[in-house]
Amino acid sequence: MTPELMAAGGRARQRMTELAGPVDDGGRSASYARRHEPGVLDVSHGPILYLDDITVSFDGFKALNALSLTIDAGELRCIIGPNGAGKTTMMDVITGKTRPDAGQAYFGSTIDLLGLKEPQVARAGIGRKFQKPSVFEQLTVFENLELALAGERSALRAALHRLSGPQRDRIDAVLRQIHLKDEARRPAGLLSHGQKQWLEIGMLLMQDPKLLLLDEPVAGMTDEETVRTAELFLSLEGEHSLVVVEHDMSFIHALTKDNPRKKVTVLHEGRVLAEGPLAQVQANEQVVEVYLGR
Amino acid sequence: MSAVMPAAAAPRPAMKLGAWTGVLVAVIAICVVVPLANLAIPETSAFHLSDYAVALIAKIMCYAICALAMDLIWGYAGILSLGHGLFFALGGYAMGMYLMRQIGSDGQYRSDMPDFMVFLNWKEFPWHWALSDSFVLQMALVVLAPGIVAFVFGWFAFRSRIKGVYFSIITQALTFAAMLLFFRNETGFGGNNGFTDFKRILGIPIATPGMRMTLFVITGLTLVGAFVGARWLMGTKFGRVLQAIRDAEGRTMFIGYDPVAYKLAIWTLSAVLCGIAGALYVPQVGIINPSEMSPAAGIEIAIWAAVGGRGTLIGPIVGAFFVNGAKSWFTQAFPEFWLYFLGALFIAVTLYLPQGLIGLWRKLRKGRAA
Repeated sequence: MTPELMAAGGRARQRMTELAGPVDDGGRSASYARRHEPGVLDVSHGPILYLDDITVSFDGFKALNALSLTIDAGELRCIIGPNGAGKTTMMDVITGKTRPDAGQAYFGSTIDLLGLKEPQVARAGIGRKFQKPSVFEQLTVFENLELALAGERSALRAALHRLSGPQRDRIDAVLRQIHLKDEARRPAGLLSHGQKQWLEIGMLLMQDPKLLLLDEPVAGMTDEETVRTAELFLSLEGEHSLVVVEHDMSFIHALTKDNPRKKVTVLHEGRVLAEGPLAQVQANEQVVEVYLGR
Repeated sequence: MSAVMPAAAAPRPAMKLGAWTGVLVAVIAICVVVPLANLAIPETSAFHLSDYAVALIAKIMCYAICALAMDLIWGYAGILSLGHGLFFALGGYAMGMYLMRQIGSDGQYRSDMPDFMVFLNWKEFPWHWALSDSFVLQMALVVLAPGIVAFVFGWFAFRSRIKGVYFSIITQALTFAAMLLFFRNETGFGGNNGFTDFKRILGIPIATPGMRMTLFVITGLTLVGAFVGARWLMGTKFGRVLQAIRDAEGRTMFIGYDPVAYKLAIWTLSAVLCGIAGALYVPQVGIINPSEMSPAAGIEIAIWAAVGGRGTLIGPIVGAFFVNGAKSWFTQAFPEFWLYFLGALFIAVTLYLPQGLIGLWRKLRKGRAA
């Protein structure tokens, strides 16, 4: 056991002792001596993300129509759907960019996402990759990763921040993982489209999120890059939970072939149209109708 | 570590040797060369620096501090402020109030009150003049007045996510409103005449060569200090987060940074720096009036930064010297054409030199090296 772990354990115990004062519910919310700690991710019930009855309308148009969706901890879930199905709006709701008109969104069973702003959602442990690669073009690849590194976010302390040895090692490891080791000193704006996508994925990894939301992560990548991305995502599955929104069926296939029972969700007109293993979803008549037009 | 990491991935040093040499040369020029050339070398010598030249350089150094402040907010955070004239004026007026009290009863009306208050038949000082008798407290106001105004305005503007051209327009409107307020006699800032006829600071007459040179040296050292401080700050993670916000604000938010805190910090810092520049400007130029808050004044600060080269820190200082040097020559040689020249310069720089004069210099140097 490292000293850091021991210190962290000590702090957790301290918090728990403080929480263990008199509770007005007679202790019913505590299960087997485990207490709910507000603001700390709790996935002991299984799901890491609950969306319940989420409705978002823009000038009468319902981008999301009573959408309910549950993602389990450690799951890799692919979400497909035609244009305008509400995939990006769903991510906006989860990350605090859009406030829904109705519904609930929880991260684990304790964190209410609808009360949080974007930076708070990110700090709670949700990372998001945009559809269009979005990196800091004037900064070097290394600096992009440095800023994304999990940890201090305060403006006051940023001026005195210095990278520690383990943090440098971590950046170095991610640079290798995303195959940008040789580009570390180049400004990110000079990277190719696919490399920018990788850099953005690398920035997500630096954040060390529990849940990754990936909006069309392989758009504009070469076939080889796509294959490597699929491998990377599959290696993250389990320790992290991933939600991948994608149009590219071959990519979905690559992500689900290791386990034929892995669930795929089809969105249509702001709600879940079908959910189940890829083969079953592809055989669904409604899905075929939506995709081929009626 | 160095075996694992590529060398250049280490944090960039805030300043290279060349930059430190430049700073040293500037400090020697300010503290030794100019005082000697102005005070010790006789007027007949070719090396004598005239009082006029010293006053002009001092004035431009104040402007250079403003341009540097503008670069922090515009060049690094991507927020164009057209309201920096307001912060400059607030610092200037805070200094001016103290200088007005220092006149004592030597004014036209031989009263303890400033002349304009006697003229308005005021019997006692308005509330905001309460601290004006104390040098220390009034100097605190030089920092606090622009700082608090910027903080409160920035708090609302950044929290409401006002950006881009909307932010620029609102800052300009705010400055214009303040100008109209300062123009009024009732607000107690001397109306359209502002403050002038200053006699002394800390009991020492302003118009003496020694006092003038002291103010010159303080201004110069403030400029150099602000530059070194800005170089350091922009080289830290704080500076990199600011650039991240400038380049992709959404991404910055989604990796967990709250842009409001960063923007507010640099915005307030920039305003305070501008206020200090204003406070140094007033005793040396001898007047402060509401025209410092005119829309043209705010735009000029932005032009200095753009001409010199945004996001380089040294560029805006060069820009302030270049534009104002050109202005003092032009307004003597062809007074009617100055504004046309300024407009043409701005368009030319925007179209052909997006990196400003510093960008041109770097390109030429690179071309020669290749």
